[in-house]
Amino acid sequence: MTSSEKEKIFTGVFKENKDRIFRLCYTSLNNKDEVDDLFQEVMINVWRSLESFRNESKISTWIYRITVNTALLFNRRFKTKLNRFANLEPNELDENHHYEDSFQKNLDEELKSLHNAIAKLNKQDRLIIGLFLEDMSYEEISEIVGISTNYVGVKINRIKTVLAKTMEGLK
Amino acid sequence: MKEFDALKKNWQTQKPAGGMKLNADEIISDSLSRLRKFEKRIFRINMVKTAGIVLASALIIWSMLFVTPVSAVKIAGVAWLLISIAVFWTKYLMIQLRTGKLNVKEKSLDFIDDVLKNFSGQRGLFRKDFKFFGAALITGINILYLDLLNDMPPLERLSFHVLVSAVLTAALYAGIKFRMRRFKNENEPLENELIKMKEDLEESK
Repeated sequence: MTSSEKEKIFTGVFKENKDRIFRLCYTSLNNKDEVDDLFQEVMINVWRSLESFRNESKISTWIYRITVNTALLFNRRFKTKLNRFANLEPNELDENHHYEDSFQKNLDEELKSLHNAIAKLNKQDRLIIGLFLEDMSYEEISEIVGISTNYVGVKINRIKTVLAKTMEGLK
Repeated sequence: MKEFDALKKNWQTQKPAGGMKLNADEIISDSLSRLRKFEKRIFRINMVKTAGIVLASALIIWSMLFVTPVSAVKIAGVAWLLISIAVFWTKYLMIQLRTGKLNVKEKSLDFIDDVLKNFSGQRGLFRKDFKFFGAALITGINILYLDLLNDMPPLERLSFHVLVSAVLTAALYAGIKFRMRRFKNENEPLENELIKMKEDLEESK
């Protein structure tokens, strides 16, 4: 794969999936200030993995796996290390650090309540429900997370019940 | 509460506001240039490390075998030291390489397993392998001094061996302590978090 081919695919992947990747990054984090850093780390991992994409799975499944795994491993210490190497200064990222305000400002009350309820879950459950809310099937979620399809269903039902209770409590 | 299906549709209409949507091209080109810098930087760091090891090895060989008279004991000492350094450094680099190439494309459960194995490898390197490396290093240095201090009285020679061994042991012990503290502070919180995640996901498997 030549460098320009790689850039072309990367640009396409980014344009096609940025909203979904962003939402998943946003959902996975409790500290929303870190969302642009996580988003950029996902892009770095996508870039570094592009050459090994073999069309064995759907590109969306592939991208989500990278997003979920990057989010699972993401913490400030790793991020700091990466920033030191790459000279990634968070403030240089346009208005990215206004995401939280802009993002939440436009949401209706129910979505805000859902976001707050999701924030109370553990990280892996936040990611699983994030995938479900992106309209991924149980099979696709199973392919991404590595647990059986049946138990994806069990897990999602449990999460939904917890979310419903939390959202009721938040009203 | 609305049904989740209705919420899903609403959920998917959320867009990251502000810069990303308006300046996608700018962010892409910005990210690409940083990614290139990142890759070049990693490559340079690896090259410097490799050059350092080659230089250190060359210095040992040169100072021991070309500056002073060569003997069988000295050759044995140099060979022992070089093999010890090579074995430990290869293990270290392999773990570094694995850390840099974590397979983020794997299913999450496999990915978590991979990361945990990597943590365990890093811990083992400094808890177990580094001790063997230290012992090998002290042995190698003592073999060299057996020959270098040949003309000294036995008591002085013995004192020198003891002193060199003690200094090296203390330095290696401090190195292990420092490294393990760093590991505990930097990696253990994440490791514990991943263990909990794995247990949670496997419970539902």
